[in-house]
Amino acid sequence: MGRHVIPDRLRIGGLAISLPPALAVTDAANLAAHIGPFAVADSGPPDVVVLSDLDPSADFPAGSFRIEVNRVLGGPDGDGDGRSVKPYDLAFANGGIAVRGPLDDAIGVVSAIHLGLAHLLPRRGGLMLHASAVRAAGVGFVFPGASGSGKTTAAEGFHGGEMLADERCIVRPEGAGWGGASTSTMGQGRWLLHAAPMWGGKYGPVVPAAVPLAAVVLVRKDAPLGVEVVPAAAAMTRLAPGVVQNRYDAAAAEAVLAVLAGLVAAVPVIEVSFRPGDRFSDVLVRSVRP
Amino acid sequence: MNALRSRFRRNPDAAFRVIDGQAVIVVPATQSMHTLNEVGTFIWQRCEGRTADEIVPEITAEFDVDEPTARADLDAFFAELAAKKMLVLG
Repeated sequence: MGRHVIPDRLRIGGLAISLPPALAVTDAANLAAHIGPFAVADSGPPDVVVLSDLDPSADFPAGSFRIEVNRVLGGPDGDGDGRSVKPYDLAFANGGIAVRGPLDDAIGVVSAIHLGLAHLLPRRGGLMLHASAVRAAGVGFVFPGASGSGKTTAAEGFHGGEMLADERCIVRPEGAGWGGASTSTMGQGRWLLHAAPMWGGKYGPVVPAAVPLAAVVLVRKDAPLGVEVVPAAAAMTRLAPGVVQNRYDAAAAEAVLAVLAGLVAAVPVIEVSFRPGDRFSDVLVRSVRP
Repeated sequence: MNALRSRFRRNPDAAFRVIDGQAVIVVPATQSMHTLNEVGTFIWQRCEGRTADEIVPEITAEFDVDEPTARADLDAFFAELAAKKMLVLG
């Protein structure tokens, strides 16, 4: 059996992530396959610091809050039955975020990364979305939606498109403002679309590309072929359930709202209706051409 | 619920923005986001620390609605917003 090296420095969605060195997990090959494409030699000072809960000596910032993750579903515990739930502690510090949790397998490690990104991104002007993503003609299309919404069907059926991700994506403004500028400029300029890694299982490896975001596409399955621009306020409400964010307080709500407002001001939000076999991609690409 | 004489405040934990004339409101306590129509946004922008009694004349002045209807609708609207934790009694 070969040795699979787990990288300890990653860059995802433009943010630098550090993992504990020489991380030991039960499914090293799987984890390496999924986060390996995001490895960097030197990511600079980390925005997201991931620590193992097995290291009691790890210095953890004050003011932490706890999120419980359902290891069966790989997401925050929603059913409250306490089954396979693991705690993760998070704390904002030095402009970034620290996450401490069980890092014994790919789900544990990637969940920690997701939690850090999902909570830090809105404060930096970006969002993590539950979404599929496609690259076509040099630009990106993101399809937010819950499981069963048709986002995967739409992404897979995108004629001439390359699927970048099937479950988690990051959208954020491009340019020097990323990472610290005022959110008042977020409605201007170009936005970028990034894939974010998953933990394997039914999720395949993703393409760690950053592409200009051409449109946010809301899918309506099993309806006559059509493309329609969604007004801004309705777009925000419809996009909100797709935002990966599992602990709202007033500051988090304001941050997510600000980013959503910037996103819908800068990027067209389009509803695509289609039936299986419909070639909607040509209409969609035409609709976002300047 | 007779909300006409109650004094309401927007939930201080909620965040909102007016986008294209429609208030979009995030309520952390319920992890929900709501969008108000033109009339709802008009009321939302005027409800802070006020009673429905005080707002009814502004509604009838702005929209084509008689006072009894405005009162009844506002009572129901405030009750709904309070139930969704968008408003709190102040």
